[in-house]
Amino acid sequence: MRPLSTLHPGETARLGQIPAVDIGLARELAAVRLLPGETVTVLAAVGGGGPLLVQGAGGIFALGRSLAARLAVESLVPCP
Amino acid sequence: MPLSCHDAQPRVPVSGDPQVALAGNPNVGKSTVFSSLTGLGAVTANYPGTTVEVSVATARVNGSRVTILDLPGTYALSGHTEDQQAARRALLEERPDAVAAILDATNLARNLYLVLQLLDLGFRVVVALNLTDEATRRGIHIEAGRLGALLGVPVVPTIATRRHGTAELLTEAMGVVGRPTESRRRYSAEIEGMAARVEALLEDHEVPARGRALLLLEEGALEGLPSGMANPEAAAEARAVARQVSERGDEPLPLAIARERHLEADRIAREVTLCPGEVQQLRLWRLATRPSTGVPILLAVLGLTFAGLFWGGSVLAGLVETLWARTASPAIAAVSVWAFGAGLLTRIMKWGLDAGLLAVLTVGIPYVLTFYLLLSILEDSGYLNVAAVLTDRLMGGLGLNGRAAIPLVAGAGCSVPAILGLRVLRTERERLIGGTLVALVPCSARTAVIMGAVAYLGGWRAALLLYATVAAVILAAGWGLNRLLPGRSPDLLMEIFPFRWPTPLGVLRKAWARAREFVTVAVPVVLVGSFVLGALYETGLIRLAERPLAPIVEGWLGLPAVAGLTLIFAVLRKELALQLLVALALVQYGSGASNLSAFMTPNQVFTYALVNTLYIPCIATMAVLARVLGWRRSAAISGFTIVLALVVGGLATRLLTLLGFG
Repeated sequence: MRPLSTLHPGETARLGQIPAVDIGLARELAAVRLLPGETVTVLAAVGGGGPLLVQGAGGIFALGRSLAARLAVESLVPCP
Repeated sequence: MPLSCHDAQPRVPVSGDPQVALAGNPNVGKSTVFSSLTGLGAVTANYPGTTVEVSVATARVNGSRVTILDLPGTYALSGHTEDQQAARRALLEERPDAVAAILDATNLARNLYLVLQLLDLGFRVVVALNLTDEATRRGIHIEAGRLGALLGVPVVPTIATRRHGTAELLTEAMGVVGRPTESRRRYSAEIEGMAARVEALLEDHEVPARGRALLLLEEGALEGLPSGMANPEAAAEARAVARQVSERGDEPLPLAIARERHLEADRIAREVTLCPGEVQQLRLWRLATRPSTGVPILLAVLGLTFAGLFWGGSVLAGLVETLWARTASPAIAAVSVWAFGAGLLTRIMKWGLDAGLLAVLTVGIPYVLTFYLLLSILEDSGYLNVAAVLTDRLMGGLGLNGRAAIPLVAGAGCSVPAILGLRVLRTERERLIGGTLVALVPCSARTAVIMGAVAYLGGWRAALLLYATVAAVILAAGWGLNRLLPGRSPDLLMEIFPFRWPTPLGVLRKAWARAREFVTVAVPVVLVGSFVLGALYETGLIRLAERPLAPIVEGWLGLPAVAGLTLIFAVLRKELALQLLVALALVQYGSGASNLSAFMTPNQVFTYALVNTLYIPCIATMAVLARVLGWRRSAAISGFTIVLALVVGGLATRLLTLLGFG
């Protein structure tokens, strides 16, 4: 498991569990189908610590970098 | 924030007409449907605990009147974000006779989630399959009839921007009014079993017990639900069920229910989607968000917005002023003289009616309306989201996120629409920080003072120094507030939409609806303020403030006492301070004073403009701050800016003296 924020554009990963303290965030993400176990693909990362553009089953979302750093993912594409 | 369940009086004007609520995810064209059904005559209703507004207007269908409620765009009805809470409260408290769910046909599965939740709660739903033109372009084909059969509701394909299908949607909505509703058990035996345990303890209510049980399981508490919808025993049972689930180590119930609802939505979407179409292309988006191309584009867009606001605004303002001086001003003077003679009362009337109304007009029409036109274009085209993405990092340091970028930049034109624009921020904390920072951004009126005094007398380098000082103060204030205020501002989580061409009518409608709000909020306040200040000035009472202010104005800021008086009037309009300074100085120092340099040193002029820029926002700004944040916070922000301006002004004058600038 690694933070979503460390993924590079083009990489696909499976979302991990969100810590129980972040249930409010987990519910907000759940409403747009960013649920543990769902796969997401990073489309772009805005340079200089900007947000990540992430494609999930529920659509494309911009996630602030610190939000992305709080989400653990299991990378599905081996790093070259 | 827990919401009281004892203040459930209706907040939407009661008319007795049937009510149809429009619900949907953000950016699905819900407001376009709303304005195509209702025209321009909407009012807004606030729900306590939120500043998210519900627009209300009347439409006609087959000759009879219907009240249309435009709910805030939201992905779900459970959950704690303000838009979710506002939409839920409006639906559960008003119990509209029908709910028209507006869906994005290009993202059916995700959009169906909200529809399933509406059906769970026993609403009479009609579905608008909107953006069908965009779906067709992308080769997506959805079988509307089959979708209707699976959901058990009428489905109408619509293209709201061209008004296709919206009238049929309303007719269908009226058709379901009064029909019995059914609550289908759509989820797994486990979830339905848990719902049944809670359901058994619920008392009778017009909302089906299963829907209320699911809501209790998702919310875990009674808070936020209208009174009578659930009893403490059922809520306790819901909590017990949730505890059992978490003790088993299973996924938290709200997530488990959300997952099942998504799966069901997905199943339905797959069954009715004949052709899935192409994957969304984001070439333009990538271009617009890659820093090497995106930052120049952003700067160009912001520059154009600012120029449009500043130049367009000042041209329009000049036009309004000229017209006013030729027509209204003499008329008001004539009527006042006719009614009150040529004495004190007439002079006060000139302040209140003439100067006051002009102040509203020269800010309201040129700056507010122009800004809203530009903002609506940026918003409807989808570029606003690009700006949010690009500036997110910088804003994060100020306790804000990318959504705050546009209001802050807009503040350079006029603080009033900028503060109304803070509604795009989702928490009270962000709006408080944003409101404070916008109040400090030099608006065009303050720029007029900076240009007219500092740049005129001290050159462009002095003006640049002043802007740099103000920018540093703004960054420091944001940084400090972010550390001082409890809590943490939420990170950016925003859906990305493809760019769309805004429709002129849609832009006009949106801009007009928003500009109207400025008129209703600011006009009374500016008028009353103008009368009061006019009376103080004309009676000479204002001079009484000169002595008490002297220690601060003369002692700390090193300005002539008369300058302090003019700063009081800047509350009305910031550029009024400079005009009055010249006028009052003329009385005190004689004709030579028409040139500021005759009685103020460059250091004093700089300090004066700096204090004028930073301290207390104008009265119209305070009024809209109060509208967005409440009077207490508006007063707190105003007080904070006074202290800040005095501290920074006092330090600046000393520093300049130390550096050898008299």
